[in-house]
Formats: sequence, C-alpha cells, structure tokens
Amino acid sequence: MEAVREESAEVLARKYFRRVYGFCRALLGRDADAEDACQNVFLTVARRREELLEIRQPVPWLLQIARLTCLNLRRERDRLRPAGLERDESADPGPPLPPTENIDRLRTVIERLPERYRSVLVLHFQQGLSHAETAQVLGLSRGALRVLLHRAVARLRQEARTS
Amino acid sequence: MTHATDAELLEWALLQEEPDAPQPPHLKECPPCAARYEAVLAEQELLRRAFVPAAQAPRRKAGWAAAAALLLGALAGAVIARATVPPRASALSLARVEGELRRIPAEIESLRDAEPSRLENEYPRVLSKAEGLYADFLSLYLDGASPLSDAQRAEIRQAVDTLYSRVWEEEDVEKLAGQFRGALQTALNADQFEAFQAQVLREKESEWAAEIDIVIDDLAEALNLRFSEEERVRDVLKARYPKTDLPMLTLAQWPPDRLAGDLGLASIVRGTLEAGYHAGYDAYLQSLRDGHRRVEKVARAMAPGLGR
Repeated sequence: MEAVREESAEVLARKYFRRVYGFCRALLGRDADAEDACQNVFLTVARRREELLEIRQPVPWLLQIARLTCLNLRRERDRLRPAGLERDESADPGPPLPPTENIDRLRTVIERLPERYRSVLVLHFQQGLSHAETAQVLGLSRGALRVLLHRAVARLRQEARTS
Repeated sequence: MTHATDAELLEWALLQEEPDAPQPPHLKECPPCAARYEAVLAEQELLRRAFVPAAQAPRRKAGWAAAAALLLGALAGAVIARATVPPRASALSLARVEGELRRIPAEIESLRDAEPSRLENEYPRVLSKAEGLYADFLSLYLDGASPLSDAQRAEIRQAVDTLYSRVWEEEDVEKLAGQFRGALQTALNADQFEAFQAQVLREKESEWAAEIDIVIDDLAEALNLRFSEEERVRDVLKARYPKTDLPMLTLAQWPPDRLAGDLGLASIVRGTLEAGYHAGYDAYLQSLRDGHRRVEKVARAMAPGLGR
C-alpha cells in the first residue's frame, strides 16, 4: 500500500469518500446519518492531518475513524435505548444460508445484529479488507478477528433462520 | 472418511482470499464436502450482494463535471496550493484563471447528452475557451519564472492552439507532446523552459493518478461495483494505465475513453472483474465508444477553427 505522505485531507476525502460513505451507511442504516458521519470523519481527518505523514495504509486508518464516528452517532441516537445482551454463540455455525434467501430480509437481519458483528461483516464483505486490515480497524489481533468473523456469520445464520 | 464440519467449511471460506489461506486436501477428495463448500462460497456472494445498495454513495450530480474538475484542479489548483508558483507570478491572476477553468466542466457536462446541433455549436466554443485558459495559465506561470515578451505570449498561444487542434487527429500523443514541447523550447528562454519542464514533471504523477481515479469512479458508478472490485481494478490500472508525457492533453479527452480505446487494457480490466459484471462492462465500453465518436466527429470537423 502506498504511503499517504503527499496526500492532503482533501485528496483523501476525494479519493475515499464513496468507500467511507458505504461503510457508514452500512453501520448506521440511513443516508442522512451516513452523510453526517462522513462529514465528521473528514473533519476529524483534517484535524489530524499531521498524522498523515505516518500513515501507510489510509483505508484502515480512515475506517477506524469512521467506525468510532458511527459508534458515537449511534450512541447519541440510541441514548435512551438499553443495550441488548449478546448471546453466547455456539461454535457450530450450522449450514450456510440458501442462495434463494431473500436479500431484503437478509439486510433487515444484518441491521439488527450487534454492532461488532455488523462492523466485521461490513469490513469483510462490503469493504473487502484483508483480515489484517480488518483487525487493525477493530483493534484486534488476527486470531481474535477470525473468531469474531466466524461468530458474526454464525449469528447471522441463526438470526436469518429464526426471524 | 470423516466429513468436514460446518465450522471448518466456514473457516476455510472466510480465509480463502488471505495470503496464508489453507488448501484443505479433503475438499479434493470428498465431493459431498466440496459441494457443501461451494454452498458456503455462494452464501458469501449473497452476503456481498446484501451490502451493495448500502455501499452506494449519493449519485454524483455531474459525473463528467466532477471528473473534469479533478483534472482541472490538478492542473491549476495544485500549482497554486503547493506554493511552488514562481514568485513573480500574480497569485490573483492565477486564481482568476483557476476559477474560470473550474467553470469549464459544468459547461462540458451540460453538453454530454446535448442535441447534435447544440453539441456542434457549443463543444468547440468550450474547448476553445479551455484552450485559451490553459494558454493564460501557462503564460502567467512562466512569466513568474522570467518575464515573457508579447512575442513569446503569442507563440505560447499558438503552440497551445496547435496542440488542441491536433489532439483529435494525431493518434501518437507522445509525438504531439514532443512537438508542443519543441515549440515551447523555441519560444522560451532557458529559465522559462526549465520552469515549464518542472511544472509538467511535477504534475505528471498527480494527473495520472487523477485520471485513474476518474476511470475507477466512472466504472464503479456504471457497474455498481463493490469496493473490493474497485480496488482490484485500481491495481490493474496502476500497473497498466499509460502515462502521458504531457498531462494537459487530457483536458480535451475523457479519461475513460482511453480504456475504451485500448483493447489490451480493456481486456485486462474485464478479466479482473467477476463474470457477473462482464455484460455491463461491455455495454459500458460501447457507450464510451459511442460518446467518444460523437464528440470526436464534432472536434475533427471544427479542429481548424479552434483557438482564438
């Protein structure tokens, strides 16, 4: 991956806006929220521009900022809603979902997943990040990331079957 | 034989694009497990599709204009912003030229799907205006290195005029760039020409990167590409997209047209995309070729009249 060195915050915004927007939209579920989040992300980037000199992988760095921004926005939005308890996941994910699974229904299921599961699925399936990059965004080791990803798919399968 | 568990199959599938992905021999030896593994891969594809609509940014209001603005921004804005403008150049005048250059894309955008008669009338005017602005920009920039005489200004304008009038006729862009450079070398003194060379060299990489961004953006929007697909195409373009010796030539051309005009590059990009995108990609290339021919026809007919 190329170094960011010469890239200004403006160049980053131009180059990665769609990508960051897609990520925020998937985490927040609404265009208006995603737009707010994107604006905050690139404002943060502009404020932290001195860090650009040290960043070699702009995408994980940006998505890390984006994820924290989305978490804050979501927390604000859901302030009065009590946090749900996460189930203890079994090691067996069960068989895969059939190809005939309704996409819209699947999206609804994804929307309802706990944030960490949704984040890891978005980073893996939408953003196409490697495990190392995804681990970097989420602040995990690669081993922990693999477990989280595995559990996220398992939970998704369970929810899709029971919903 | 012990069959693979669902957990193992999922683990293998989630790791399949990793550099250290396991190659479980069991899948080759066990058709039932291989079939179950295929089902897991199909599920992954389903999940990728589930994220596609959420990945769409708001549609750009003016794709062409936005793209051209990138090029023009790189042309004029970058020079101003980097504080590399020769001290004598008037920043105010350069800013004015930049402002006018930035308005050009909106005019081009409005012509993209225009009626033939409007396209024929308006496109040469807009191109001529862009050409004039580039000549102004160059004059202001070089004047900062060493004051230009009136005769030199006229020669710069003539060189730019020749460049733009031939850009649609001369297929060898490097030859065209060489001729332009030669004309300027004759017209300018050593300091001015050195400033020109330095400016072109400085902008070459950023122009090339900006063009790739435009191609990717346009393609992603046309095909509704996933981000991972975009990145794969970006890697291919970075390896294969040609570097023009004179970035300003792109003011007259739409970067994705290069993709449509370069069969080798177009074919490699096609091979990078998943099969599901191929039909859309072929249609996209065809629409680029149609659009290119449409504008080219007007440009060729009007070429002798371009310029001021």
